[in-house]
Amino acid sequence: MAGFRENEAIVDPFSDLVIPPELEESLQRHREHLAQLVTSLRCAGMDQLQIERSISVIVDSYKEELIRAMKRIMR
Amino acid sequence: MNAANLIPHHDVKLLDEAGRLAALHRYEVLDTPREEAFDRITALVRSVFGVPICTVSLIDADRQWFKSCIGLANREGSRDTSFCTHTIMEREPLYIPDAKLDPRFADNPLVNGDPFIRSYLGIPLATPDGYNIGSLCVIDVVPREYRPEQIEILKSFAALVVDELELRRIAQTDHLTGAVTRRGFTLELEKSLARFHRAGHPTALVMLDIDHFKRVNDTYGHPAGDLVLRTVAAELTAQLRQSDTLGRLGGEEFGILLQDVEMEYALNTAERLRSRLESLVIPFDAPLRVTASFGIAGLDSQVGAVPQWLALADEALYAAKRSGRNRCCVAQGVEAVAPGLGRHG
Repeated sequence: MAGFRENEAIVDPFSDLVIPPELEESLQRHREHLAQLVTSLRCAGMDQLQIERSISVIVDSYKEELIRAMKRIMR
Repeated sequence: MNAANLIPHHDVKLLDEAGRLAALHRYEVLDTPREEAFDRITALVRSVFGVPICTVSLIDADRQWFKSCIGLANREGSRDTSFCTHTIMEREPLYIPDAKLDPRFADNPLVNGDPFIRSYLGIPLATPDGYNIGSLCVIDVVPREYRPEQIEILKSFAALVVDELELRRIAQTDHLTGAVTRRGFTLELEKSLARFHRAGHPTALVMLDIDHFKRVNDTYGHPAGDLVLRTVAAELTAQLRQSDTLGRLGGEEFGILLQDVEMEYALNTAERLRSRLESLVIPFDAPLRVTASFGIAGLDSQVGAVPQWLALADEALYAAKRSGRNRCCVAQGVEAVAPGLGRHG
């Protein structure tokens, strides 16, 4: 496959990651709340570009803390 | 008619102020620096609603404190005059199209003076376990009407703010023991130290280390070690008040922050914990028993920084280890009050 050399050992940095139920529940809630936001923005008549911009801001904010949480869990 | 008559019978958490404050403090967010993650959300909400002010407001015992605040200069204000204090009393949004026409707020100093609030829409920030710890609100200096669809948008944003707070809390939790991580615990120590120097609130730090923990791992394996850590943390948590903080400082070492207590109380607490751990029998292949050594450090005007405070408790902890383990030692000149107590420094 392009990008990998044959017989090269691939180290998976996330191989030991076990996502605790608390984080799984948090991720699930976040997915639901994002979907609710999209629905409510649509219902209020917001255009697609504004909706995408809003989602992008929210996802970026969440992403940084999520990476920190996952690093913490793997330590 | 009192507040209890106004709130549905099943919604007792709206009246449980002690539980609400404990829920708020679990997030360990009060008095933390501004964070871009929250500022980006409030900036977005302000833009979507076209208002001059948007805040993530958290309601502490006697103040409102803003984790994020766009359009206001201060980061905190009195709870007495705060609109968000009203918001957290209900499950539904607090919508005030014109504060001058609302008898609850017409005479409010925030309406008649800076920042001249005229319209307000606030959504309670409800934790997954049902406590309203604060509010996401949009404020204007002119009367505003909001359609139900717009209120739904703010509700969605409020839920996402809670997600952000939750994730932050999860990142600060040690997932083996449920204790706060060293990073989170250090933040709590910093806040307590600042409170002590500002208002003189007595606070004590207890450090404890499980004696001969390596032997447990070496003899019975890491699953046994993990079980010991979980059991010890659970026992400590069960014995502490909601306002106390248990942190895992590393390996088999824990820290306990006891807020608003004199040294005698701290000593008695440490001794009680020592005794409880000593009597634990942890079921494994062979029943496991552990003891722990404790170091206690209060605060005085000489303690100016958290590392210094930690070092004092650590020195006392090692004095307890050196003098035979399974005992409590104090870092400052406080007399021993129980057989298991020693004195150090």
